[in-house]
Amino acid sequence: MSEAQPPAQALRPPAARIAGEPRGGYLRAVAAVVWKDLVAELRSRELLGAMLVFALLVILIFNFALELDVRTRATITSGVLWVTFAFAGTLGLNRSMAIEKDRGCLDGLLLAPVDRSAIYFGKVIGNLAFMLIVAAIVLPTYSALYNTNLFRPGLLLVILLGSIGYVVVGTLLAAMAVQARTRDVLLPILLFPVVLPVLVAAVKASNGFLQDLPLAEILPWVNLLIVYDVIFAAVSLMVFDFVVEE
Amino acid sequence: MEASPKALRGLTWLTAALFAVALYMVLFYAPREMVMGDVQRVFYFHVAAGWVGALAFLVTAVTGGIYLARKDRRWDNVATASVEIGVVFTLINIVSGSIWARPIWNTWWTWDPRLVTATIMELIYVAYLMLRQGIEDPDRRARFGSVYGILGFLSVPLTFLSIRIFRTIHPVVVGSGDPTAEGAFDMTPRMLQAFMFSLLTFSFLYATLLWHRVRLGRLSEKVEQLKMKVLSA
Amino acid sequence: MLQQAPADTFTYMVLGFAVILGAIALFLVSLAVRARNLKRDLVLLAELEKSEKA
Repeated sequence: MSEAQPPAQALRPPAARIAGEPRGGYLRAVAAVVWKDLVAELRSRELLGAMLVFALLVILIFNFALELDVRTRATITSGVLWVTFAFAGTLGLNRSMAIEKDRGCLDGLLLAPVDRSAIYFGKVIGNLAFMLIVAAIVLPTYSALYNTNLFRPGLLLVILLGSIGYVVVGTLLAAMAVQARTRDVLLPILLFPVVLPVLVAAVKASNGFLQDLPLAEILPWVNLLIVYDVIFAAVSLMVFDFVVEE
Repeated sequence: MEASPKALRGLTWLTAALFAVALYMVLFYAPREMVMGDVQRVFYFHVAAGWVGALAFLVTAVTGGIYLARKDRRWDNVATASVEIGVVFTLINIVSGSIWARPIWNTWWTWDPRLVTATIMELIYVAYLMLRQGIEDPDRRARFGSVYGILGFLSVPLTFLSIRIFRTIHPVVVGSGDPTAEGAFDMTPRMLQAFMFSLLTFSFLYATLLWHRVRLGRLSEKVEQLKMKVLSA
Repeated sequence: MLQQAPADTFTYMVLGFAVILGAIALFLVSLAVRARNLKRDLVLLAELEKSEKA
């Protein structure tokens, strides 16, 4: 299995110092959290591996379950993509938080003289990175398998906005779910009803861009995404303290 | 737990009386609707139940926020009590809505924004209760409940909005042609009276049930504390 | 213009009210049962406490 994760200090990029530089210190703290997760992941590759395999399997299952002929596929693609992202994202969120809890890293982080929100942002950025990496693999794979070009700027923007909304709430809820008895099954139950507006808007907006619908039809969805991202980033940030305090 | 305080007993009787009157108004006083017939009478309590569900959720979110600020578990007790009542009444709202829809549109389910939002709200309620169930420590349980209550409550209007936009751009093909219709009909004065009275009655019902459930929660807490004291001695 | 008679939806109305009243009744019963069980527990625990002190 994977080796024990070395303490956060050993993984911090050499130039970072937390104490003594207020604003720079905050950003460095965020960077430290992100760095810790990325380096740990690079060494073990468990998380990313699991998310990727899962995502590819989901695409495969959809292929057989829905029998996507060329015409239907055009209307269904965005839905398939987002279901894939949603479920792979759940895996990533769960694991990312479980690692913290199981190896006691969360306690270590909390002891650091750093604003709790820095931890929150660090985890959000880390989770977001993972989701985007999954998207970066899924898009070309889907494009290749079905001979369609998914690399449109509009779609990429929607994937970014949607992932942000998903991860911003997901990180917070994962931090709670991981401390409950029913941890694995609880996160989707908590997350999906709350993040539904994001998924609906993301699917509709993605579909709009993929099918070259007029911008006026797509804009309300993009607006909804932005509004959601802003509201939930703000609220999650405010309540994160209550979730990790002991 | 001592016998209910006088005020609560008075309130309970008052609510029961109001309910009896509301039932009379809805079943007899209000005229039979011209097109839908008798099933339309379900509408009065259907909407009132939906109102209670939404109110209950608001109370949960607010008392959760107060708990986070004050760390007084009594607020958390109110939040939990409110969620339970909300679950029951939202379910009543959904099922009665379904029963009303069936003879009108010949379907048990319509993708009406309000119905879908109510269902999602119910799912959030249930998730709230499942979250609480999975946590042993009462303080952590209260904290997490409060956080989720607030997040959940905030997401509901956004969900409603997204489904509304969804339906405006893509009107539903099966069922009612008008995506915003929920069995629209004009209300005569008597119907309006029955409607308003139902809302009033159900509000009283909510307050009464909440009070009773809060007392139950306090009793439960007392038992838990005594249990710990006695069994650890 | 001829007015149609209202649809006969009486059975659905009965079903609807049965569900509404039934659900409220069930909730009330659940409250009562839980209260009774808790009171019983309280009495039991109080006796246990007394016997432990003795």
